[in-house]
Amino acid sequence: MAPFFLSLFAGGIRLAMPLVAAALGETFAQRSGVLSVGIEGYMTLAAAASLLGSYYTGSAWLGLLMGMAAGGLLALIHAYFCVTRGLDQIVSGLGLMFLGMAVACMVIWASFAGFAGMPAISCFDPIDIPMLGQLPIIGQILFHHGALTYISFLLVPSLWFVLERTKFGLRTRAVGEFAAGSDTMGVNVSVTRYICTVFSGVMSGLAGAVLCLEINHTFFNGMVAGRGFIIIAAVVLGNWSPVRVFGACLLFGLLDAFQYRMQILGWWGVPYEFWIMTPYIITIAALLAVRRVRMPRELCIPYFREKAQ
Amino acid sequence: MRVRKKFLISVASLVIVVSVVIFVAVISYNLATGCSIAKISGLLLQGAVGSKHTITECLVATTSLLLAGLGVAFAFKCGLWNIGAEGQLHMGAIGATFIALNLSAPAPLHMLLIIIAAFLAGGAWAAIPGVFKVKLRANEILTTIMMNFIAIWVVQYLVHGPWWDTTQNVIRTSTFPTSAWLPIIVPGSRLHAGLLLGVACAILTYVVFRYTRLGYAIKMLGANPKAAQYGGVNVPRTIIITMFISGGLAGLAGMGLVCGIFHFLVDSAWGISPGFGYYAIGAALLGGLSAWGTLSAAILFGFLISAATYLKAMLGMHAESLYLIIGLILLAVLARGIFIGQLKRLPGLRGKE
Repeated sequence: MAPFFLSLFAGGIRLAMPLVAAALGETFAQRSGVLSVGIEGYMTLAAAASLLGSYYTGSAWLGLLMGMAAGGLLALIHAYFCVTRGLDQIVSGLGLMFLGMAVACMVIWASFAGFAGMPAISCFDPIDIPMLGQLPIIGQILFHHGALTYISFLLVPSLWFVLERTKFGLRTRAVGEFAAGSDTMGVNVSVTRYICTVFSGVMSGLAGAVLCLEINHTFFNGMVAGRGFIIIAAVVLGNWSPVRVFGACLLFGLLDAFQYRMQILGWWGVPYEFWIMTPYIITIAALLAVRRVRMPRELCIPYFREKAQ
Repeated sequence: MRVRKKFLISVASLVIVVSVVIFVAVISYNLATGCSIAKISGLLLQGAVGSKHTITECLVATTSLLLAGLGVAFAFKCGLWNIGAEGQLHMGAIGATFIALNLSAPAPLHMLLIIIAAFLAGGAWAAIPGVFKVKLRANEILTTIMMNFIAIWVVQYLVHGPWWDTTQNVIRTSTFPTSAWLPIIVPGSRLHAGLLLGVACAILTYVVFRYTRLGYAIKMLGANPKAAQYGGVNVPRTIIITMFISGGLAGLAGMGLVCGIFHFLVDSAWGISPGFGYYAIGAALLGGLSAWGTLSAAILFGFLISAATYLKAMLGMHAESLYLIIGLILLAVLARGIFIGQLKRLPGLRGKE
C-alpha cells in the first residue's frame, strides 16, 4: 500500500499545480471586484502559446513567458470590456473563453500540419532538490517536481503577503469591497482592477504552461478539461483567501490523482466513466458545503465615478 | 413610432453584429489556413446556401439552436446564468433514448411520450442546480458547467455499458423503432419536425413572457430580485420552475438530435452535439432574450454555424475551431451595447417617442 499512497500524494501535488497559480490570480481579480470567467480559455491559449514558444526558441522558459503573455493579453481585453466599459463580466468571460480555445486550436493546427506532427519540445523536467530530495517519503512527495511546481509553491506565501500585508493588497481588497469609498480615499479604482485582472490572466498563463510544458509535454484539444471552472470553485471554497485557496487546489489535485488511479485499477467494479466524473461531482459538493461565504461585496459590479451614489 | 425605432435598431444591430463576426472569422481562418479570403468566403457561402441540401442542413442546426436557445433565454431572462444547456441537451437525449428503446407504442403516442420524457429529463437535470441555488446558495454558473461534464460522461457510460449494441460497428445503442423517428418535413433531407416543435415553443415562450403571471414574475426577478420579492413573487419557486423549463427546452433539442437525425445514441467520439448547448447561449443573447429575437438569431446563427462546419470539414480543421464563431458572437453582442449607445444618439432616430 505504501507505494500507492506515495504515488498518490506525489501525483496529487503534480495535478494541483496547474490549478494553484491560476486560482491565486483569480483570487486577486475577484478581490478587486472583477470575475474572470474565461480562465478555461486563457489556460488553453497559454498552453498553445507556451508550446509554440518552447518549440521555436528551444527554451522552456521563453515558452513560459509566451504563455503568460498570451493569458495576460486575453485578460486585458476582459479588463477593457469590464472595467473601462462596465459591460457584463460573464458574457465577456465566456466570449473570451471560447475565443481562447478556438485560437489555440487553430494556431496549433496551422503550425503542426493539423496536429499530425506534434513536435518534441523542451519541457520542465523534474528537478531533485539536493538534500531535501533524499528525505524518506516527504522527499519523494514534495521535492521531485518540475521547476514550475516549485514556483507555484513559492507563489502562495508571496501572494498572501502581497494581498494581506502590503499597501497594494489593501487597495485591492478595498476596491472590491467598496469602490466608491476607495475612490474617495484616492485609490485609482480602474488601474487597480486592470492590474488585478491582467495579473489573473498572466497567472492563468503560468498554469496553462504548467499543463503543457510540465505535465502533458504536448498540446491537445480539451486539455484543460474544465479546470478553469474548478479553479473558480476553489476560490469560492477557499473563501477568497490565498492560503485556503491553495488548500482547496491541493484537495482537487489529490482527488484528480485518486480518480486517475481508480480508473486504471477499476476498483469496486465501478465503471471508469464514473471516476472521471468525480472531480466535477466533488466540485459541486464543495460549493454546497461552503456555508459562510465571504464574497467580495462589489464583485461583478462595475464602477463609474459619475454613477456612484 | 417607438416600436418602429426599437425594431430598426435591433435589426441594424443584428445585421452589424453578424457581419462583423463573419468578417473577423474569415480573416482568422485565412490567417490560420493560408487559404485566400475569396476561397474561404466562397466555401462559407457554399456551405450556407450552395444547394437545397445545405439550406436544409442549416435549418437542421437552427432546430437545435432554437430549442436550446429558448431554454437559455428563459433562464437568462430570470437572471439565472444557466450555462448548462449542453448537459441538459444530453440528458434530454438520454430520456428520449430510454423511452424510444424500452417502450413500444403506436407512432404518435410513442413520439409524445418521448417528447415528455426528454423534457422531464432535461428539466430535472437543470432543476438540480436551481434547487442548489435556492437551498444552499450555490452559484449556478459553476454547478451547471460541472453538470455538463457529468452529463456527457453519463452518456459515455450508457453507450459503453448497458445500452451498447455490440452488433453495430460503432459504439452506440441499437437503432430506434420507426415509431420513435421524428417525421422528415422536407423530403430527401434531414430536416425533421423538430423545427416545427421549435417554432411552437417559440410561440409558447412569447405567450408565457407576454401574457402569463409566471412570465411576469421571471422578467421581474431578472430585472430586480429585491423588488420582485417585495412585490410578492415566490422567488425560490420561480427560480426552480424557470430552471426546469430552461432545461426541458434544451432536453427537447437533445431529443430532436437523437430522434430526428441519428435515431440512436452514440459515443462522444462521434457525438450527438458539437456544442449546441454553448452556441445556444450566443443565439439567446444575440436575440436579446426574447422569443422572436431568439428565433431570428437561431436562423441566422444556424446558417453561420452550418457554413462554418462545412468550411471546417473542407479544410480538415477541428471542431474547436467553431468556438471562434461563438466567442466572436458573444463579444460582438457585448460590444453592441457600446454601439447602440452611439446609434441612439444619431439625430435621425432620436426623439419621436
